Amino acid sequence: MSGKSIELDRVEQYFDSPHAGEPRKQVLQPTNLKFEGEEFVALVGPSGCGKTTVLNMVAGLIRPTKGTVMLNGRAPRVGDTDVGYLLARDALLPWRTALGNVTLPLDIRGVPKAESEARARKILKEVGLGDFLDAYPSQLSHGMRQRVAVARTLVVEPHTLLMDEPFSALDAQTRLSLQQQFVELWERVRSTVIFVTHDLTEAILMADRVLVFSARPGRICAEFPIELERPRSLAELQGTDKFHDIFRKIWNVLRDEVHA
Amino acid sequence: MNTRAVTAAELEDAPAMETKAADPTPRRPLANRIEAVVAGWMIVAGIFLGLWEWGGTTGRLNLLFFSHPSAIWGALVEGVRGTLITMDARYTLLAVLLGFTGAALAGIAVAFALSQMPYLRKVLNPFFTAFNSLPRVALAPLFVMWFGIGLFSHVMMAASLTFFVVFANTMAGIESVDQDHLLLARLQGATRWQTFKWFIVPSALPSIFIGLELGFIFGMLGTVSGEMIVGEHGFGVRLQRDAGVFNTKGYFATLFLLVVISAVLSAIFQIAKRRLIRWQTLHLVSRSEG
Repeated sequence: MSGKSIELDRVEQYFDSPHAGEPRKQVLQPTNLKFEGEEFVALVGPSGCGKTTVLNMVAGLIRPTKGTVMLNGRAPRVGDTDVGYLLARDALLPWRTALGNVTLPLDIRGVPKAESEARARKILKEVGLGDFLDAYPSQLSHGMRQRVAVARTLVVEPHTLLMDEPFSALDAQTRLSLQQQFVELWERVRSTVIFVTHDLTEAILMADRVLVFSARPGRICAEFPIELERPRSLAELQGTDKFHDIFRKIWNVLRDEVHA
Repeated sequence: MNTRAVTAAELEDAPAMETKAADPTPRRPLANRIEAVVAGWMIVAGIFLGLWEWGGTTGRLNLLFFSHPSAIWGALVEGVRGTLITMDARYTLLAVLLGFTGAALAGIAVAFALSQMPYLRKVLNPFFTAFNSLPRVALAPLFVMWFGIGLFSHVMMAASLTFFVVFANTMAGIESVDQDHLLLARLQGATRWQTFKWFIVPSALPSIFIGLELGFIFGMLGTVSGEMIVGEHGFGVRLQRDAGVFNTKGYFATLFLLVVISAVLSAIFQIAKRRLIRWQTLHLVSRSEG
């Protein structure tokens, strides 16, 4: 699978104020964005800056108040089989085994049982859960559960991957191992990834490009290409000067927004 | 099941780890030892029945009002030889089973149907609440007028109680579905039917089971109280007749049989529940194995 293009054209978003009578609030200032195929882009910024809003627009979950979003030249649609969405919460079905949770998207698409199970088994092995196919979510640790969620997202081989802080709920060690595993999987398949995170380290280690959002109402205030070779070893990269230089450069911009 | 418990425990960060690492000859607390619990039951029952029997046979309890266990047992044996089982138990159970089955199926079906029709549900809600808050026993004479003194009026008594309990619990189960699961279903492009059978029904199942269990108890209550008002056969008729002639031992014998029947059916529910929603009881199962 290879990635597809995503284009946001003068997109703006307002939400109704929770208090009656107050004017609606702008969450996203007019924004233009373009993602090329096979690109891994991270969106960072303070809470409430509209980065998840951008993700939800591409997923078709919300419609922009103004402007247009195009996914491969068409308006996004919820339930697009070519778009994968990975949340921070794993949302595994407790009544299905690890295998059953991963076959779920294939079951929905009507893939024959034998084929869907073979594909699910393969991808679960790739995320290191080959021995836990028949375990129920309640028997798995947090890290393992999120691995199942990653497998469930990737099993349909989506060309576009939307990720909303997928590793934020994990402890530091588990997070690093999952990030590494995910980067390796991605370097093989190369879909278009939009990755929302508040963790700058994670953004730099994984992405090709980092977009920094301003405080609410959000706009893109800076853009940084991450020129680190692939394949990447995340643990090693964290110790290099190159990483620290990039980190300092982006942090100088991000700091003002976070404390704004 | 065994292999599953072991594999989970092997994992370095699996939650089952702690139970596996316990020392080789663990001294489990009394509450976790089935033989100790059964012994406790025997002791409590023994003390209670012993005191009762002692009080009754030594004249410390008024036999007219309280009877005593051995006499009750005698009445039970006599009743079993007579029409207690062949007529009354059969009659009551038939009424409960018919009323319960019909009302439970209807309760589940109506709950699922209304969950898909939010408008109709809002409209009907106050009427359901009003009918459900009605003391159902008050309907028994009306049902006798409508349906006669035969089986059908007692079937309807059971049904009128079972329906709402099953309906309300099924509804609660449907509403408790995890919003993240519904979001996932949407993102995966699941059809309405797929969302229903793979996300909503399994999530509602534990709650439906609670409804069925309660529904049966309520159905029994409905039928027996209906029979007590008027009827030809059944436990309720028997209770009313025995109380009228101060046949206390006969009364207690019938009560005892009612308790036994309820306990057996409750056990059947538990077994069925454990089979159908195994994922929910999983932790418990692997813990008692390990």
